[in-house]
Amino acid sequence: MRSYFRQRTIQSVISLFGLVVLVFFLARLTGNPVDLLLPVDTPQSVREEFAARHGFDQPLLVQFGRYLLDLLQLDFGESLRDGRPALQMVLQAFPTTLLLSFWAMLISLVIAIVTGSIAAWRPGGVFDRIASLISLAGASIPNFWIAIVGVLVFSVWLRALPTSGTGTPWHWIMPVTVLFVRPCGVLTQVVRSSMIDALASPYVKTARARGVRSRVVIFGHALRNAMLPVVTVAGDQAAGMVNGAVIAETVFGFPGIGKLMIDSIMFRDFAVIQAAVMVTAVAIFVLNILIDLAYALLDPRVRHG
Amino acid sequence: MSKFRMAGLLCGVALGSTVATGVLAQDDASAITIVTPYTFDNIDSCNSSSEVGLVVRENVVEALTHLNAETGQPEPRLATSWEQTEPTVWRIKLRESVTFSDGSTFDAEAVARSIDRMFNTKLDCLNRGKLFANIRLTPKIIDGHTIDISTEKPQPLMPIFMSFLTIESPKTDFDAMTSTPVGTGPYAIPQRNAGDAIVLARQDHYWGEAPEVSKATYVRRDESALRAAMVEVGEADIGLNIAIQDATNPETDHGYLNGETTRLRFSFAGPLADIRVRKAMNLAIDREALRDGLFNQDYAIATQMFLPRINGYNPEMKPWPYDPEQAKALIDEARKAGVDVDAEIPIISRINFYANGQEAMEAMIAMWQMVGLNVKLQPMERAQWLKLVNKPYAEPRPAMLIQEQHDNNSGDATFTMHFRYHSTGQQSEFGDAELDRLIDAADAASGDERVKLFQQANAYSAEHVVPDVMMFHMVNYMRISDRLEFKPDGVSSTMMELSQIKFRGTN
Repeated sequence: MRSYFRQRTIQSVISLFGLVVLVFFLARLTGNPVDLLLPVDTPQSVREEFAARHGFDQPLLVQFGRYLLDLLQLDFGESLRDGRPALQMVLQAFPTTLLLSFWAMLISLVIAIVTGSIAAWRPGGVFDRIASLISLAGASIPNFWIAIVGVLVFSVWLRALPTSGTGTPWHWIMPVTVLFVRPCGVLTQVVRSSMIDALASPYVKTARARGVRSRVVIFGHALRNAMLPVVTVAGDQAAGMVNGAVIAETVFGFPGIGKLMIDSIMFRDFAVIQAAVMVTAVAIFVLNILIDLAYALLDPRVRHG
Repeated sequence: MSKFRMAGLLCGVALGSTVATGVLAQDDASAITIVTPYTFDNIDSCNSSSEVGLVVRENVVEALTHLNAETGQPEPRLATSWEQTEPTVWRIKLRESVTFSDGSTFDAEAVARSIDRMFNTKLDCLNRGKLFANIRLTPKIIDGHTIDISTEKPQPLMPIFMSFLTIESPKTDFDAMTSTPVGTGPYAIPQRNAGDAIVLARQDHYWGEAPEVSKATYVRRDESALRAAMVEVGEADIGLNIAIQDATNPETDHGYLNGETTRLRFSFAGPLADIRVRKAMNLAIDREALRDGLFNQDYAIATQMFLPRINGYNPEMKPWPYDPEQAKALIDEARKAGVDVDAEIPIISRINFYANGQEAMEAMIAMWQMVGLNVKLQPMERAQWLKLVNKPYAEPRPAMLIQEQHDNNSGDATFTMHFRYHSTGQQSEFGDAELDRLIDAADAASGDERVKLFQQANAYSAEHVVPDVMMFHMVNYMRISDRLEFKPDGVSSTMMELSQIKFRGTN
């Protein structure tokens, strides 16, 4: 297990370096920040002055060399837009995204596991059909639509929830709902199909034949064995959220990393883009380690292998 | 610790963090919330000619003069009077007994420092790049409340430029931008965590009349529908930049000309080098149908690139009529003269430029196709589009029309004319000796003569050069809560004085 983690760490460091190179050059392919930050009418002389001040007049390889040297000292540079250290901006935004993702994944998993398991108990039954329909809809409806309709219904018509912002726990209800609907739909489908396989296993038939209660059969025996594919898909969904819950953050004015990244891309704020990508990459690396740990927890073959 | 306890602890920490994440609540009846689509990352007053001006200009930091929104003329603010003592020198008398919100004294020294700070090349100062790129101001202190500002060339527009000279406290960092500007205005920014909402609090020792609004909180929401909803449910009092489709309540949604004008600029290449083709492309556009179908009646059909309140606007100019038959006749005439009128003409549009901009381009393309022109839409992202807009142009410059939008809220035609229509202008596509002469003469003139010369230049350009397909003077919508009395005007897109906002029933 220890050598496995060592290997994963080395792989991740190599991947991170590849990412650094890729993000640096790809970001610069998308446009010149001098053009994007300054008004369209800005005279050429002012553009040149701005470029020189920020080192954009230097050859790309020189810029990259400087960036690497700074990076070795954990200096990601400063935001072009407001002059703050890029890493500070990212670390300030990241906890909001993590919290949003945490609640959304927790609720998704609980609903998906309960619903998928019950649906798998009698495939083709009324509950299964309703659960499949709702979960398919949840996995398919675009979340920006859910967000806007949610505001209209719950804030404007019913006046039950705040439209946006982060003042109270009530402010979290709609963003978390927007975030969990899709993974919940996907995970319900995965739990259902995985549980159908598990429930058809000989050990489940034996348990049923011995008269073990349905609840114990489902949640006590079959579920644990059905969880491996669920953990894989849940990890994938969580990585997507950590990457930036862009829609929820943008619509509801949550100051998370997705929104920060989109804003930075729009303004070609390279230092912030690079810092945000690096921090999310590290977070996903940690998430993958946690998923591996979950595998080990669920499957003794992994633990002792 | 058991797995369940661990999970419980994790949930507890997350719950605690969720509850702790909060921003200020609005409970003061004289406090308002303004919801905007802008980021306001850097609200240094040196950027006050951009959207930053909405927050800081005349609220936190005041300028020497103030432009009247109706007339476009400068009025006293921190300067009480001004006179041109020499062709290149203006003497300015400053208001006395004024202090900054940090207690510092407002005087000639503070003005000189603010001017020097704006020209400090260590700062990414938008005002310097946008307004003072070709003008160097040199301050000279005469006495405590008198200052001379000199320029290398005569500068008849100095009183207008003074409306952008915002004066910061002498304690402001000279070599770094600040996120909490300090000025002499009726409001101060008590504290600010970058990235959070911006709060302006009324300051007690303001030299002028105390405003009714005691506190203003600026929050950002990207979605227009959400901004509109926030005002509707009472979470905000003013919603800026409400999209046309969301401005559905005539009681609360106020449209105003925002100083922006849209056009399509001709590159003078291929068939577009021929004035008959350029005229035909103007005659082929049914601007009224375009306005009524895609925009609305609040939008004004433009004849020139700035609004009537700007010095140099020519009220005699009429919009191009919609005359597809004459357009066809001109194209035939050009064809017979050997012009390749069948060549493909790309229409370069900018993605997400303004509301319904893309639809407008598609409708115009259909109109040009109806008169037999071979036009094709080429939408571009901003960075790609910018490469075509500014000189130096890549050679060879192809035939094309470029979608543009230009704002002039600065009071004078010079901020538009030289840049676009003079042969040396950074966004000019042609050289016309007579037009150059008129613009140069207007730039050097002042008063009525200046206005007259710019009017002549505008008329000459439209008649003899036809450099563009003029579209509309654009409109912004602002949703205003019914508890407020406030009417947006022509400068509300770049400056919104909180002191102008009143509460209903208090007067």
